[in-house]
Amino acid sequence: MSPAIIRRLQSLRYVGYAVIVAAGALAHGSTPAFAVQTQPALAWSFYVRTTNAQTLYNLGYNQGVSDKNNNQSSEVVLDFGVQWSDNAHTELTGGSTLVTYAQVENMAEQFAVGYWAGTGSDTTTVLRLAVGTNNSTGYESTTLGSGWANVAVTIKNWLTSNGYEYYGQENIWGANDIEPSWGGTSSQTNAENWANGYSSNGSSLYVDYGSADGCPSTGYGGCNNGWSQYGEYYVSWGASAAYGLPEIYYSVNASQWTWISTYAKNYRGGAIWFQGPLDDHFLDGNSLTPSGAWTTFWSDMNAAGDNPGMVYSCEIHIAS
Amino acid sequence: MKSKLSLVGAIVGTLLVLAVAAGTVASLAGGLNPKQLFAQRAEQRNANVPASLAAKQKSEQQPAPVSSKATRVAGIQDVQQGPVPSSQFAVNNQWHGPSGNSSNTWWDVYAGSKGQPDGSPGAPALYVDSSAPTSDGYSFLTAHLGIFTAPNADSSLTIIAVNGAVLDLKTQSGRVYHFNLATDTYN
Repeated sequence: MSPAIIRRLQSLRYVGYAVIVAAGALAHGSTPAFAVQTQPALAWSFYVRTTNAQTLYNLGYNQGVSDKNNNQSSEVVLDFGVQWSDNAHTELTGGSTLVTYAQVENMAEQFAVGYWAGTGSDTTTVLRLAVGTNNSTGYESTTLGSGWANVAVTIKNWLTSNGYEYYGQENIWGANDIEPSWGGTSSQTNAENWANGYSSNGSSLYVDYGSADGCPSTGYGGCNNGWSQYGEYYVSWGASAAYGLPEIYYSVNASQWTWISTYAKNYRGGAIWFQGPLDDHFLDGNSLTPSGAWTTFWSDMNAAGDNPGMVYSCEIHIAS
Repeated sequence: MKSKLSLVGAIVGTLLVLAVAAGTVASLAGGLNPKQLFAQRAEQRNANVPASLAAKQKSEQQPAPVSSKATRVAGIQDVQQGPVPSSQFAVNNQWHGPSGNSSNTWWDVYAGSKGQPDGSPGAPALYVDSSAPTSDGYSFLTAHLGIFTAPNADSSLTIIAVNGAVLDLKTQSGRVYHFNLATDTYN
């Protein structure tokens, strides 16, 4: 054997070592460590407890200024309380103020107009304005779901026809604070019907910004009030129009939603792509901070093997 | 002749590349799952801005928003959304109505139980606020009067009747309790 051939064989030996080391690493199943994705600028969502449209305009204006300064789009939920069975009113949270759908539309429109004005010369940032209700009665239905989609579409059409959508800066969605503990014995079925009714509209998407009351923080199992992880998956991702912005108030909530996503991955064809966490630290100082909610939720999802892909960081406040 | 052949070859080659690219795009679009397709179509419908519509100038003075005064509804309501998250207080139902001799100040009473971070119920209790209209009439100023735990109740509370300042309450097992809003006591 010539010296040249021997040198080539020796160099191949090192290639072999490298292959063996790489194979060993793969066989060990080591997972590369990911740094937590940077939290986007926080956007404020609101329980609306006023009928003053000027207040909503001002809040939208503030969000527009913030987005312009941060050069970043945002998602804001405006919670208008529970739908009445007449499919024409909601009752605001924190009292018994009754408003018509027309008032809801007017206030949401003014928030969007305020945003549009607040962004000023910036025509690239986009507000995803999610107009919210909740499932805290026993009569959620396909009719109410479809009715709420009409509210979102009406707002969008008004903005368009009045020249505020030329740059496409306001993206109007519906929203629902869906919580297993609410809605009586048929809660899950009713919520699924609402999701189907909303989806049947076909022109609007919605975000579920609810909780996972009583759902397991490890493994599979039932949730409060007869709900299942399937139900949570369905109303926050499985239904055609559904997306998820879950309440992450405590660490256990991040675990609960991560396991709902794991259920979806293993039994429904894919993990849930959450929009981000919604925290309530401003209203409850004992709960997770915005950065705590972001980091905990992102880390839990990442540890479960799912790339979280979250794009919004939201916190609930009160507009009064 | 050779240069003509080269030109034809180049054109044919370019067309082939374009055809492959178009096919790839088409197959990618066809590869969208039903949820992605739904979102795409919904967003497309929303993006249909009329071409003739001019951009509203952001420097323009906007018309002042029009608002309506806030109105309240009295009575027992089968609504579980409370004034605070379920992790703090989980509501079964609620009652709103004038307090004592005032028509402006109302009691806002939420019956249920204290909450837990994971959503499981805590001690049976009432969450009591009072509210009065703001000077501009668009909202109500709320004062929190307290959370009153029912010491002997076996499960979360529901309001079944109201007689003046006295609430009739029932637990899930059917036991009945009474709470006096004037004295904040159970009997």
